[in-house]
Parts: sequence; C-alpha cells; structure tokens
Amino acid sequence: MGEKGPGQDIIVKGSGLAKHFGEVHAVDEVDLQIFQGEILAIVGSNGAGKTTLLKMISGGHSIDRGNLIFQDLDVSRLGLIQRARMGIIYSFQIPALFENLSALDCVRMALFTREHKTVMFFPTIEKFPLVRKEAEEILNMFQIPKNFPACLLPHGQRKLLDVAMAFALKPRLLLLDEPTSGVSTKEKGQVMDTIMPIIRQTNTTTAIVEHDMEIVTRYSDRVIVMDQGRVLAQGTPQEVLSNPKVGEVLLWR
Amino acid sequence: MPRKFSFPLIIGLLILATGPAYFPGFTIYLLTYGMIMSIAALALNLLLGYTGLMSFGHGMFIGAGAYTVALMMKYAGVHSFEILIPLSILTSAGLAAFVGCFCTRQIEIYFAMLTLAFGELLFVLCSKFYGFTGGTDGIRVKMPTLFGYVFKGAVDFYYFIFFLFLLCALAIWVVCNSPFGKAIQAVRDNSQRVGYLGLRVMKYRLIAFIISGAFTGLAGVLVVSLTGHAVPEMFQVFTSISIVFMVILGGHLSFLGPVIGAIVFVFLQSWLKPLFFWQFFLGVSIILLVIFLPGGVLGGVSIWVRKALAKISS
Repeated sequence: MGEKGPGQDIIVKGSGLAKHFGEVHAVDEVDLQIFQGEILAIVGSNGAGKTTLLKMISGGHSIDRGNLIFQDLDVSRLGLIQRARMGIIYSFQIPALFENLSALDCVRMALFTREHKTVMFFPTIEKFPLVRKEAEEILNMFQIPKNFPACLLPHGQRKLLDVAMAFALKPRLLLLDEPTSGVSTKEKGQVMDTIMPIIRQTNTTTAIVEHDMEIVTRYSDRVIVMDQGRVLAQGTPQEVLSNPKVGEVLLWR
Repeated sequence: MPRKFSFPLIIGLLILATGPAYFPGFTIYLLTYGMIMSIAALALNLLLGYTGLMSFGHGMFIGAGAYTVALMMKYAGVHSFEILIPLSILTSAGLAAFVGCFCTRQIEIYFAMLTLAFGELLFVLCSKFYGFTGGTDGIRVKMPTLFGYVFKGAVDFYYFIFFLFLLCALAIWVVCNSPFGKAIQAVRDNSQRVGYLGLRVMKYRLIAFIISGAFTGLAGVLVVSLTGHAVPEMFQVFTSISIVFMVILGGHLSFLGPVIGAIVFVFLQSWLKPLFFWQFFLGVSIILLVIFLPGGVLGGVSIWVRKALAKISS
C-alpha cells in the first residue's frame, strides 16, 4: 500500500485534477486524498463539480489535466473498464439497472462479472448455486425483494439495487453518487441506514456525493466541500461545519 | 423451459413428432421448411430480443450457408451433411465476425442499416460473379447424404430436420439462460451500466452476432438442401425481412415466439402466394399484428388464455 495518511493508508491520491466542458471549468485543480476504509463525503451546491469529480475517478469522464494515483498506480489515462476491473466502482445518481431482469439477476450479473464468467455459454445460470446464494444474501442485506423485475421496484429500492450491484463487485473504492436523491425525506434515512452499516461492516472505502448535511455529518468520516470546481474546505464534518466560508457558499440545505 | 409453456410445448412437440403419420405431403414440406426457418428466427431473436439489436441483413447468413453447400458441391464434389454443416457454420460465423466488427460498433437504426447494406453487397457480388456463382440463375443443389445414408423421401428428411431443430432450440435456449445470456440481456437493458461493471459492450454484441449468424447459416444449409437451389435472392433484404417478420409475428419477448412465428409465416406465405398481390396481404397482416398483437401471436394467445382462465375461475 502507498503513502500513509493520518493513521491510514492512502488509497487514492489526485493532484491538480481538471475537467473542462468547453468554457466551463467543471473541476479545476483539485487535489484530493482518500484513505483506506474511510467514508468520504463530497458536498457542494449544484454545479460545484461533485459528480464530475466522482466520474473522473471512476473513469466515466476522462481527466483533462492532473494525475490520479490508485493504490500506487497512475490510473489517469486508464479507461472506465480498466478502472472498474481494478475495483473502482461507481453507483449512479439515477439508478442504472437492467430493467427487464429481476433484482436477483441484476445482482447475479454483477457477480458473474466479478467471477469472470460472463462469456460462459453453458450451463444455465441456475447451475451456479453459490452465485445464487451470494446474490440472495446481498439482496437480503439490502432488503430488496429478489423476484421483482427491476423496472417494477419502488424508487427507494431501485436506489438500493443500484448500490447492491456495485457492492456485489467487491469494490476497493465505492463511489456513490447521491444515493438518496429523489427519495422522500422519510425514505432517505431508511436508504442510508441500510447502505451504511454494510459499508462499515465490510470496511469498504467509499466516496459519497451528497447534498443533505444531516446525512453527511451522521455517516461520513471526512468531508470535502466543493465550490465552482474547486475544493473550498476539507476535514471532519465538525471542522467543515464550523468553517464560516463553507456556510457562506453552501447555504445549507 | 418456463413452466407456463410446458403443456403447450409438449402438445406442439407431439404434433411435430407424429405429424408425418397424418399430414399430407405438402404440409410435411411446409412443416420442414417452418422448422428450418424456426432455427433462423430463434437465432435472430438472440440478437433482437436478447441483445436488443435489429438486423435487416440476416439473409446474408442464409445465403452464406446455402452457397457454401452449393459451391462445395459444384467445385469440391462434397455431398455429405457431416462435412457441409460444420463448414457452413464456420463460413457463416466467419462472415458474422467480419461484418460484426463493423456493425456492432453501432446500435439501433445504424446497426440495422449496416447489416442491410452488407446483405445487399453480398447479393450484388453473388449476382455479378456469374462464372463462379452462376449469377442470377444460381446453382442447383442435390440432397446431401448423412454419413453415407441417402434420404429416401420427405419423411426421412423431416425427422432429420426435426432432430436438428430440437438440438438448435435447446442450444440457443441454454445460451440465452447462461451467464453470457444474462450479459447480453444486460447490454440490451443498459449498455452504459455494463461498461461501469467493467465489461466491453461491443465484445458481447459481437459474440451474440457471431452465434446468431452461425445458427442462421445452418438454417441456410438446410433451406438449400430442401429447395434444391441456391439463388442470390437468399442474401437479399426480403429474406432478412421475412426472418424479422417471423420473430415479430410470434413474439420477440418470449423464447418460443419465433418458432410459432416461423411456422405460421411459412403456412401464411403458402396460402397467400397464389393471390396476385400476396405481399399486399402480408403487409396488411403485419400492420394488423403490430396494432392488435404487439406481443406477437404467442404473447396475444397467452393474454387471451389468461383472461379466459380468470373468467372461468371468477
């Protein structure tokens, strides 16, 4: 493992990361570190560059400038697929599911991917009892009914299924893009209370983009505040909350 | 097989297995042709229903299979199925790999148009190379033998086709329900997410295209053995559209839909052909089908049966 942070290994180190869309500097000279096993929250107002930064780490967006080191390897020029295979897994803000497959098959698909079995033409998937068992266990953990087609699940469970598919890949770095967006205030707590204990128990290094400061303070170890593509402040949730600059810019929601 | 299909499936298989005992000769011929086209329709549905790619060029694989047989007979004197079938499957798979490298980079209408273009290209090549392919006259083909066995009549050949049909249907069903089958369904439903899982979407589209092409090529071998004549029109759009129609007619949302579609299409075509404007009636039936039975014959029938059962039980 690479450099040591405050008592932990650094799993991701980004220096001078930049992404431009034409004239818009979505992410501009961002330096960041993510420590092994921590839950890092990335907050900021709309258009601050949070999702773009997350997608730059996952490989969904190319990096225009700067370097990204993941577990001592420079992954800046690697594509989405290579980074996913290295264990950098992104979960979508708007659930990206396999709509006509059952929840069980969505998770099984992720497991077959992890086990490199997706080019097996026979036998049928029912002949993989261990994969089925693991998929059922994951769905139980995330409290998702297994036989419903993904398209028929309510929104909260669709969000959970999206995360469950990412989790099934045993990520080394899990990137959650607003796991509670579009979910009612009441459901937000339920969704996070389902996801976060699993992440804690499995010690999965996670970066979460989130708007809700209550969720951020409750669940994250460290916070990065972004504004207009730049890092405005970072530290523990308490440090960030007490920073007057942060309050001025964010107008807490 | 899904449980809901098991009873109709057994009845259907029994009819096909015992058909030669009570059906007249021409019906046997049509059933043989229907089962052959079922293989092509199932193969196309692997692409359309399971991978989400609409091919308007599958006729090229029927043509590839048929012309492999015709050319091997004409120039190499090979007359046995045990050589011609593997060779044709290889030829069609090779063609699918080549064409697929260009087509599977695209999706939707662009994919459909590229496959259509390749089919027409092969049609023109086959028509113009008169000296080699017989041009628009085509090449006559004798019924091949099987390990030295000479097919003595329509019933013999019917059971050979029945066996191959069962084998192919089973093989395609296993592929559709294998981890690869789930992967192509995932590609169909959300190709972006498949990339984020760490899989190359194009690779899965290409493999599905090759498998589909190989099975359609096998159908080409059997068609030309049945009809006795390889013609360039086999490559052409009408053949391709016919296979698409079979899939839509039966229902692309179910595994067995294309089989029903192929058999119904073959009988429908045979009844309508004596009419002067038979394509007109075929067109009308497509319009009616898409409007009133969007799930195809199998989808529509299963809805009617479900409604009838619900009425009886209430």
